[in-house]
Amino acid sequence: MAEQIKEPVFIVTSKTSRKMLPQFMEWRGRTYQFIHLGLHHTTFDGDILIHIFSMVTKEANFQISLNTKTLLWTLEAIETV
Amino acid sequence: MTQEFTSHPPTTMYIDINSCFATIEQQANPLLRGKPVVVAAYRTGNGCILAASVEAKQYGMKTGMRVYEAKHICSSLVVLLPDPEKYRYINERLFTLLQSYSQRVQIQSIDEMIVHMDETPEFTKNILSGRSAVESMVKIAKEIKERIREEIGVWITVSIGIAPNAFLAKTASNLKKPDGLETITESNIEQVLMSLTLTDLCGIKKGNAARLLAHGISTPLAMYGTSSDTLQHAFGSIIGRYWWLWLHGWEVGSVYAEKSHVENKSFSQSCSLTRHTLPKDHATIQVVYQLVAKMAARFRGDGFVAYGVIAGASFTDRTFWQKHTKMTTPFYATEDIFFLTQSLFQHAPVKPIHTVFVGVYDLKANLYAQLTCDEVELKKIARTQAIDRIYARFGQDAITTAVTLEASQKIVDRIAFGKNSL
Repeated sequence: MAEQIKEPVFIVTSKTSRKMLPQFMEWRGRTYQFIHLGLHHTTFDGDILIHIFSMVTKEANFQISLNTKTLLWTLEAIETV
Repeated sequence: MTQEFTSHPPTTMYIDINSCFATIEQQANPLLRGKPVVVAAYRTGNGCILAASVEAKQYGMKTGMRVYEAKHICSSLVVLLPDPEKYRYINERLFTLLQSYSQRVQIQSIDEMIVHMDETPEFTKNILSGRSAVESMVKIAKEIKERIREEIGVWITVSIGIAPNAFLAKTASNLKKPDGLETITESNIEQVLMSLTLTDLCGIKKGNAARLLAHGISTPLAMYGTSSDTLQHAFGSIIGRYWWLWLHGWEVGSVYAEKSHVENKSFSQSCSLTRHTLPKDHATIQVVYQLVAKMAARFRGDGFVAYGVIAGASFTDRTFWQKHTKMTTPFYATEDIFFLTQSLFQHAPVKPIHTVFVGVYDLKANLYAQLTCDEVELKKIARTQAIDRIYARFGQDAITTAVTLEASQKIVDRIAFGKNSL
């Protein structure tokens, strides 16, 4: 079940061989460590490129987005089974 | 008349992403992997299932089933709504990957592509190293499967069919799912057709099967062994001749023809109404306006103007109505198309609508090419261009008209079936 969140979050990323990957997320005072990337895809909001990462922790799947104009991260949704 | 199987090598590859939408959702969310998942138009009981995961298919769930029927089979079923952006992205990634093998890649639908490998460096390299055409194609297909896993997603599998033409390649891709790799050549065509029924052939459903049965053709193998004239007689048209050629590995007709988007003959949008309103109801008009605005932005985006407009509806009593009109001067502005569709809807039967659709046809690729001194026309061009610039910069939802303000139903992004519709 997916819960829409749409809140700004703080993300720590790693960068290896031209690929950037979110590693940690701070949201509502708690830090989440991502263990796996499910899917990375892109979309456009008008002419702004948005990167969307589906990141997995032990408990849930987090859909986070990076606005390439503002460079702000947003937690879009949380999916649990 | 050619009476033999084609001598063309099996260089056509048909690639079909298994359980496309559901598999992509499982790729995005690893917690869903190994679980029965369906992607449905709506989560409610009557929502139509668009794709079922491999696990859900093992329970007997399939495309077209209702959510309540599927939940009756498996109560722990995960029902997801479609995310078209994700599917389009995977489609683009697959297209790019396949283009690294051949420049002749055809997108058949969101999850199906055809690759023509003849005369490509990869195929030629394999042939020059001593492999047969079939061996070369199988080697390339295995490499493509591996690259899909590595570069697109580990959970995404494809079934690949290899044959001398697209029809047989598609038939081959349907032989084993998921993760199949099958070849149809002259040496095994009879064996393959023996294992199929008439309706297993893509393009033959109840009607065509009945036509063939009336001429004593009850199996694909019998169809294969029948003369071209008999098939032409059975189908009552040149289509019968095409069927004979397709089964014998020849590439003919328009079904699998390589097309460019320039050959688009029409654009259309349709939507099922959540409330079954009447044609002249304000709620219907709001939906029609949204459909027109979306369609107009699409065909203007491709540089077209249109001369014809069509409007139609299917009603809750399962009847259907449509009307079209053709103009002598071209149109492109959203308000003009909306005005024309509204005048067409004045003739619609006053009955609750199930699905409404609008379309434009008779297209010419010369948007804004006509010079004019008419001040009204110049203002319309400037206004339409400004609207399209706003759409391009801020997205389609950035501006709307007063007609659609407070619309009870907003048109959501959907993936249509077929080519040129992604």
